[in-house]
Amino acid sequence: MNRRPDFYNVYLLEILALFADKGIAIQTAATSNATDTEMKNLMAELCSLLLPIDALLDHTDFHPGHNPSSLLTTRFRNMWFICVLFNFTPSPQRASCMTDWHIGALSRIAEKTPPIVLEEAYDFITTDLEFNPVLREDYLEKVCCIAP
Amino acid sequence: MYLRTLQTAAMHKATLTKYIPLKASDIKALIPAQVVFLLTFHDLEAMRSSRGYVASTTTYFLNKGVNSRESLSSCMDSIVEKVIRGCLNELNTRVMQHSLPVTISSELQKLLVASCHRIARARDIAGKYLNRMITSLPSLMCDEPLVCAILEVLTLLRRACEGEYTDEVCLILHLRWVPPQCFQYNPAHHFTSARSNLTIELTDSYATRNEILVLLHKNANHWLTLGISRAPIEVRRTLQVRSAVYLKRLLIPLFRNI
Repeated sequence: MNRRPDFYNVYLLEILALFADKGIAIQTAATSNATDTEMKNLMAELCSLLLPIDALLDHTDFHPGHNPSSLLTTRFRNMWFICVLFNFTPSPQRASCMTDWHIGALSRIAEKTPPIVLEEAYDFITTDLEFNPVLREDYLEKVCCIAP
Repeated sequence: MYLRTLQTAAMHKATLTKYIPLKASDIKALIPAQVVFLLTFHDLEAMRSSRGYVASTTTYFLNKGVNSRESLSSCMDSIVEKVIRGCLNELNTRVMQHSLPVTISSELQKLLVASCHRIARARDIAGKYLNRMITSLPSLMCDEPLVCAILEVLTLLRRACEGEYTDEVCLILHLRWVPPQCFQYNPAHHFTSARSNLTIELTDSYATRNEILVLLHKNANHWLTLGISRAPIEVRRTLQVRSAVYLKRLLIPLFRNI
């Protein structure tokens, strides 16, 4: 990968799309009565995708924040929505799959994330939030158990 | 130990209410997707600012749709306040250890540019963030590029305000031939400083330009006073170097011509 910097952007777009697809699949599995072990495995797989994203962004000659395309902005935004949805980010109930490695990787990804809200985005609240396919309504209404 | 059951959306709402308890009534009116967006805003910006990347906070306030929603907007204001407090706590600790992030100077310059932005909300947030950072950590004024950027932006703003009384010329790339007089009386919105390598984008309204200039001038005076009382030798040296450059590049050739 180091020898092909022209593929950085393509690879990043694909891996972010994979992250979003995996996030949607987990929400579907959670609402279709998947077992705890299955859910844990799926979450661990999603967490592990943070490491290649971090490794890719770690290249000193790669700056996705400079003039990002609207597609890249959307994919980064969806990635962060999924991270928040599954408590990967610092929160009182942080996901158990987030080890120190993953926490460090997420902080480094945050550094190189381009702005997730575009000035020119028309009707951002409706199009990009309310009808965003990565936030499934049935998952958000699902009852889960948390420590008191 | 017993477990509490809660909807996923309600759990996220509870987390957000924990972060900004004063906005509990506004949070109740938000839909789940907006709650996830606000949590993303909080978590992402808290992580970035703790690592010295403070300038991206203002980018959320550039979108018209985000600014037009009352409840969302008021929650975002409170989140910015919390992020600033968290960032200052982190930086205060790091100042003691002499390990401020290397990016802080360039990020403060970006905030300075954003504090002149044509969109009022982005401008207000950037100005507030910058003012809080420098008044809490006056030693930031020992940074020569930041002080030079402040003086350059003041100069550019003054020139932009004077545009009201001059025939502004905005060079636009035209694909077809246009008579030279068409270049005149076009308001200029972009002003660039090659010395500090920054460009400010201003509004059409000269009244607003004057307001920005007056506010920045007042703040710059306050920041320089704080900087001089904290580290007089460093700040005076920066100002003297800048005066010398000004003297050498502008005044000496002028006198030579006379």
